[in-house]
Amino acid sequence: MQRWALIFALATRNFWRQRRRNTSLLIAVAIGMAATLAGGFLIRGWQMSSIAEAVDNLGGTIVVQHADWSAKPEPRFSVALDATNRQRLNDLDRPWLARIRANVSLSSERETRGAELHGIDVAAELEQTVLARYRIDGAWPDAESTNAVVVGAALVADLETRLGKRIVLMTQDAQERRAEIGLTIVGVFHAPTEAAERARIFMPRQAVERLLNMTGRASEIVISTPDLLRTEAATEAVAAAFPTARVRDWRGVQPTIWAMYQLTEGMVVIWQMIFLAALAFGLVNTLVAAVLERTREFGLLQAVGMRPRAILQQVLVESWLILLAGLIVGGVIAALIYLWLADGIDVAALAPGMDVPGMTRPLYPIVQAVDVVSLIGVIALFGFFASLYPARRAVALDPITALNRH
Amino acid sequence: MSGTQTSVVKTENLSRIYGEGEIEVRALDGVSIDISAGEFVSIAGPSGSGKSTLLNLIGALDTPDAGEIWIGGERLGGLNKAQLADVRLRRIGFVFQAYNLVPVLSAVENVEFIAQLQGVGKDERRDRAQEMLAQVGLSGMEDRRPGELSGGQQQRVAIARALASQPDILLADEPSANLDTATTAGLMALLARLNEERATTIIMVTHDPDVMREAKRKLAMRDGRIVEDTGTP
Repeated sequence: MQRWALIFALATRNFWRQRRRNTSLLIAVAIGMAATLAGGFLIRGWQMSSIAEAVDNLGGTIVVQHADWSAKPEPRFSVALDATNRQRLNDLDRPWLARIRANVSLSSERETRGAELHGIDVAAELEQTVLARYRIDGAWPDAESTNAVVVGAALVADLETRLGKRIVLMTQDAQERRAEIGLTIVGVFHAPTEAAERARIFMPRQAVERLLNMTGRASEIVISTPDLLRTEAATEAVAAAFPTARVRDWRGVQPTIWAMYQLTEGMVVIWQMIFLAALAFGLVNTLVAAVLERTREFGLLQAVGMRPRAILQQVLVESWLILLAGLIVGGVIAALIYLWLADGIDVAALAPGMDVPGMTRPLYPIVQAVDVVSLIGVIALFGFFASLYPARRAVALDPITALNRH
Repeated sequence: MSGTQTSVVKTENLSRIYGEGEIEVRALDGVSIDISAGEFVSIAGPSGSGKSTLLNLIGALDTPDAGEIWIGGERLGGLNKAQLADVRLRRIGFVFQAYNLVPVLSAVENVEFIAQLQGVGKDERRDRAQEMLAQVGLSGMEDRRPGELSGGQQQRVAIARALASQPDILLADEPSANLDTATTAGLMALLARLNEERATTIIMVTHDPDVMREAKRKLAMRDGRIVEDTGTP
């Protein structure tokens, strides 16, 4: 106990002895810590934002489709919405949506474009999906509307048409026969990206069922789960309920988003490794200089009987004091950055040009305790090993040589 | 071994060789001495005669190439680094030519820190430190750091530090080398008094004939050997 008191007394006083150098290192640790933590908060925010966006676009986390849908996304590959399947869905006790999808050709008086038709339950989609956030000119159609369509603003511009005008939709129905219908544009939606405005058009599901001869069927059933990242068990349960269908969670449906999520996990680690390497370099440099400058002092400590282990501990404690102070200051700075950005950063302005997932809404920093704790733990461990070399140098000094050093 | 009951330091055929081949230097060459408790011994000799080497070996700061050393009956041969550190901590006090105080500690903290390493309680070691500082004439300077003390005052703090740990043996390597005549005289009087009153064994390397005069036993060295030993009890 007394030995530790002495070690702490020497370590704290030695900190002030080399005030300028140690303060520089402390500031470097604090800035590195703050940048790593705050960067981590934003990366986490972006990760979760991109996942939330992917799930919003899907309307849920788990998708049930016909086994052949992925290879051939055509109306003939659909899932029955009969009493049996409805009962299975109700047994799962989770919100769900049914949707019909088909690739279609749209013609106005002047232009023709391709898009994906979504036959939706308008009220439910407006409750559960990203559609609720889209600004719309005109209105979403009633469930019973038969010839109403909602088109994205960019597609409307491409077709050189406008709200209230008619367009012709052509596609193949579930029996692979030609299907054609004249529609009125009752709504023009504005999505965060022009790509989203061009990709999809929306009609009430009943009208699309009739158009594509898909009564009582859907291209996909989308099920919601509360935790976006823990979907495995729920996916297995849905797969068990629909053994002949293809059941995937959002990772399987949007592999790019999931790959980006994993990539950013790697980026966080690389970001931390860069900081840790700089930290180790600074720490070793500072401590080696301190040991060299105090060679005689370490020689004296050995000569008067301080055990090698105690000398080692003294250098390590000095190192940890600097690290601890740096971590506290860096943590406070990171917390202030978090509070400053807590209301979100509006990156949506970048979205039209970039079409980057997760950039279509304000970016909110996210603090995960595991990130903070693991970073502190890794820094402590790294600091320990980085300090070992100079500490061992201090122990390895020959007391006679050290005492005679000028 | 054994050394006799009153023997505090005993060496047998101690040899220490630096370098090898053509540049081999035999710093100590078969030195055997026996120093009893309470002796005040000076070691003199020209530069390179082996005095400091002998002191370092007795102080467990260095290990011999041949021969044996016993401190208070304990054989040093075979002890590891930590065990040698313990021998130094428990049995030996050092006074160096260059004072070697810890610059971040005050005078009183410098004096008490070896006692702190020994595990002596806070109050007791503070009492001891203040008493030692008083004995070396530094009362009132307890809170000064080494940088605020003169060379003579620093050396007295170093002596107080060495004695506060209540060692069996005090080893002093040319303690007056950096001191003026008056300070040296005061220092020698202090060592003589401590030797008389506390029966602390003092072994001191010196070139200075005035300093040598204070010692009751005088060893003279040349070429790594003891060539004269006068005043043996």
